[in-house]
Amino acid sequence: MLLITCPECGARPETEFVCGGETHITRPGPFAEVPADVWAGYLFHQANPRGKLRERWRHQAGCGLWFNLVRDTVTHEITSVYRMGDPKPEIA
Amino acid sequence: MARLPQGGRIDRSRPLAFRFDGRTYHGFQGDTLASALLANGVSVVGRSFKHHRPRGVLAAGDDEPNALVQLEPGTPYSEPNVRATRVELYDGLTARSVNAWPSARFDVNAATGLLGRFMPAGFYYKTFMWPDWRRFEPFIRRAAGLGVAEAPFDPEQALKRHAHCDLLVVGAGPAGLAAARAAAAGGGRVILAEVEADLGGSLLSDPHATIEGQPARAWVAETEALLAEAPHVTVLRRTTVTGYYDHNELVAVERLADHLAPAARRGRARQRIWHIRARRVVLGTGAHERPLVFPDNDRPGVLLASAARTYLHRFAVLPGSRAVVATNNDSAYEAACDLHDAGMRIAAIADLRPGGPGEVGASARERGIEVLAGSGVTGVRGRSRVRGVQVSPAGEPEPGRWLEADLLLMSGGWTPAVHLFSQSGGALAYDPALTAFRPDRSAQAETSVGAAAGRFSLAEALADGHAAGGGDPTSAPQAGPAPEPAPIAAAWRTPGAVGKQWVDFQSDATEADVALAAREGFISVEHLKRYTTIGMATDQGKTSNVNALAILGEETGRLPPEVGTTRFRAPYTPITMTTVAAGARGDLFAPRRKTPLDAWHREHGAVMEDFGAWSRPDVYLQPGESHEAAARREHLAVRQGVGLFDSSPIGKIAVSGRDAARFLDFIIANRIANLGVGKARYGLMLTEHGVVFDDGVTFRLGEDSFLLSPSSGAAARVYAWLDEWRQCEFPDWDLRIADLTTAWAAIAVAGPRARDLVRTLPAGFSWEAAGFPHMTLREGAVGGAPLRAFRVSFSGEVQYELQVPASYGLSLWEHLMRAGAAHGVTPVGVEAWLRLRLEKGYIHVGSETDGNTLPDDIGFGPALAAKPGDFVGRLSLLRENALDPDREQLVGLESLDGDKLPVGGCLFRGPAFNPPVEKLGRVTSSAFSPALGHPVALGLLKRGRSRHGEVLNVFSQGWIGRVRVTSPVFYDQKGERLRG
Repeated sequence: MLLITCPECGARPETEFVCGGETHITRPGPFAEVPADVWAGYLFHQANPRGKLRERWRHQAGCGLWFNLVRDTVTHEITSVYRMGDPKPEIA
Repeated sequence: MARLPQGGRIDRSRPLAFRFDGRTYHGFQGDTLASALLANGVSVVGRSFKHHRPRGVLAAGDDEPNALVQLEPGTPYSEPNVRATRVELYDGLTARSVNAWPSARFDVNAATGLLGRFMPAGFYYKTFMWPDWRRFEPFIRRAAGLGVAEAPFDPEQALKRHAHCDLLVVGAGPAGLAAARAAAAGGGRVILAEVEADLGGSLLSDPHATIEGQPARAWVAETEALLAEAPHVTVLRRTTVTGYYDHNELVAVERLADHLAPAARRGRARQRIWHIRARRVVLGTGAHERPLVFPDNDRPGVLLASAARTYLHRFAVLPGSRAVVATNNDSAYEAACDLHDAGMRIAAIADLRPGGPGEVGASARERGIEVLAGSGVTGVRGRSRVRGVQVSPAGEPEPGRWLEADLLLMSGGWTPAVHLFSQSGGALAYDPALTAFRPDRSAQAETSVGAAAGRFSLAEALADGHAAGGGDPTSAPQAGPAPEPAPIAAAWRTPGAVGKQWVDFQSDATEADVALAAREGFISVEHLKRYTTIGMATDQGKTSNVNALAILGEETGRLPPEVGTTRFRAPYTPITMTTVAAGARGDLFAPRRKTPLDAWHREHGAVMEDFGAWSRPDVYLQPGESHEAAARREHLAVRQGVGLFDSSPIGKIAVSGRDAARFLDFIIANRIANLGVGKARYGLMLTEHGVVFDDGVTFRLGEDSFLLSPSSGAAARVYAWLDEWRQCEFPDWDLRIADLTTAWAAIAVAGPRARDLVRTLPAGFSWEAAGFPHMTLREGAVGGAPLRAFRVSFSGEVQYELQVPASYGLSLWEHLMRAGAAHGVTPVGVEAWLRLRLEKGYIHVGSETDGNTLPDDIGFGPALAAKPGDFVGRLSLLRENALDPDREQLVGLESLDGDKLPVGGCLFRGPAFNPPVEKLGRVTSSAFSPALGHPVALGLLKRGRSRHGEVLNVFSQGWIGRVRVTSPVFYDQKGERLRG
């Protein structure tokens, strides 16, 4: 079970959180000008890398905060936790 | 006599009686069931899984594959497949062998063993393909099962505990003790978990070892005392660490009362499951001795050499009188010499190495034990007990000589117990010097020490442990001198010998099965495992894994590192579900939500049912009334008089702020921005894929203040959904969102006489239709409590939903029941409430919708297309699939035969059901309509809106009925009643 550091509450077990998937995905718009393939990409095409991934998580059973983190999808190592709106960290 | 008059760690002053397979035996306090059986000369303790061959005790610990028992059969404490080597004996213990009837000695199914050559690897897959595996399955399950789960409900209790520590040490052998001792001196929080009741590990079976110049047992006692005194050290005995998970979380099972008779366990928890988060982990899990693979190596009386040594030193049991020892390494010599000194005759040591042993050989020769270098076992005589052993020169065709013996001790080398290491994600490496896999690269903050790291000498174990515990290398405890070893010889099986050579005892697979699998192309070790089931039994192949993959390598011209090994999985040894649940069962499995009126419902005949997390009245039964009759009575009360429905679980999400209107206009598919203050509007919520995931009414309380009423079951989800958009996408908007669902009680007053009833509430506003029309709301106060009244209708009649703070709910309800007595007011349960909406053709999300349902499918296409702005999921409604004219659409279904239609029934064009049949749709909700006098249903049907009037058939589990497709609105199509 992962140990995740909520920016508000500190290190808590994974069961208190929900994962919202890849973060920094921009919703296409305005809607009247969005080509179908761009919308399809938004819905279905995610990076799904083997390695480091920026994800958003919510401290569901805690303060309710949505925040971002960088997790290695192979080792589950979490190398960075940052708030919504913070600059996107570089990943190797 | 197998029990020696002195020695061992048993308490001879406390004799115990126990029963095995119907016979009474005697043992002592300190025995395991396995040691007591051996002391009583019981050689056959079970039958093998497939072939029903007689099997005896092989090992002395967690690796035991054969001695599985049903403990306390026929009682509520019955437990299947317990390893006899891990059962501490108590007085009155009763056990039965598994997979044998009537007993292990006389097993009716043993005839299967004679057919053994017809049961090769993949036998079931190959044989039972036609016509249908399911026909054979019950027979196979009966014939090839292990123990049975007898008790429907385990009366025993388990506890759960979460713990944090700086260092978790797994295993209290020399390496683990050295680690814990060093770490305790450093002052950190230490947890030491040991599977046995006593600390010491391998030292308990080794009377000769010395540490720091004193007998090792004295060092163990001293360490034990130091740990007991150290303030931040927790020693968990009888505790198995079963799983190693992410971020250094480990799960352990502590057996609190398993060593007590069931009667003595009453009032005590039997086990405790620990979830331990450790900054660092030291794995001192030791190693498992491997069997040698030769013909009939599964006969009772064939034991691992180290196990025999353990039975001697810990339990004072000699498991035979005359032994042959077969080995490919030095470790078996210690067993041979110790057993010789205890009075056993050692007929010979057959050592597969042409060069023979290292320095230990001298101690064997001193005792006059014959050492046959370059020789191996090629045959075993005796069916239920070893009677003779054939020893032949290795690799030579000439038959060897038969030695008389009733015991055969074998050692094929040692496999580090890397299970937890592997679970942690660490990488293994094959070490030819060990002929085994050992830990290579750690993936987590973990260190393997001693035998678990493939470092088998006592000196290495102590040094590893001391260093891993943070000790200064110069102060590591020193082991006494050890003889210089000779290298192990890789020896995986006995080519050219006649007879079955067993690789995996518990899943009953031989080297020939491995060879067959290789010939048939199952050359990946993962395929081998699944095809032959090697390593898939309850022991997870602790004794068989390395032998099996090495033989696969020989068959395919590869070395073990090229073959690789399978990933180990938790749990290390089986855990009971009672322990996993640890109290989270029955009423404590999950929290149950109760409405503020819960007690009233229960006092008034309500049949309470779970709807999601909520416990709600399904119907209120009157004396002598059936469930169906009650539902119809409540239904008619709403249609003809007035009913009260406890709708407290309905979602109540408050959204306010300057941006609330544009936020909801984006979240909700229907238009919200132009909703007037004091008004209500029904709307759908979609996912970005356009799929309907909830519906509900939105109320505008003020210019910047809204209240959403999502479905009861979806309230928490809807709140989370809104909050995700607010936090992640619109952080700069002025928005506040609060889930007030449980803060307010809600009571729906519905029926043609509803107004007569609510008029009795002086709320400060008019209840009359002219001043308070349908789809509007009023705020006021009643009896000093704030009151919100909403005119919405799920029932199809005039309906007022009254909301007051939860603590006022009961008094409001009781007032309405009193005031309504003259009008025949009737409490209404969920069953009737859902039937009322069914007659009106209102969808119920989750019944009329699934993970594919789009707004147009349920009739909302035109409304949404006319909306000016963007909303969640909007562009997905233009996808090709969304515009397919063949999509399923909501329809009403009238039963033409008078039968109630089965929910889930398949709609097709009849009359006969001859597969393959085109499925046109399905029934989604169904009930008898008291208002119409016949059964009605809703369904989803391909091109349903253009099929009104068509007659179709419904199929369900062999039943076929006829339906007419109609509008989904069966009752008051113009909606005049609810506006009244």
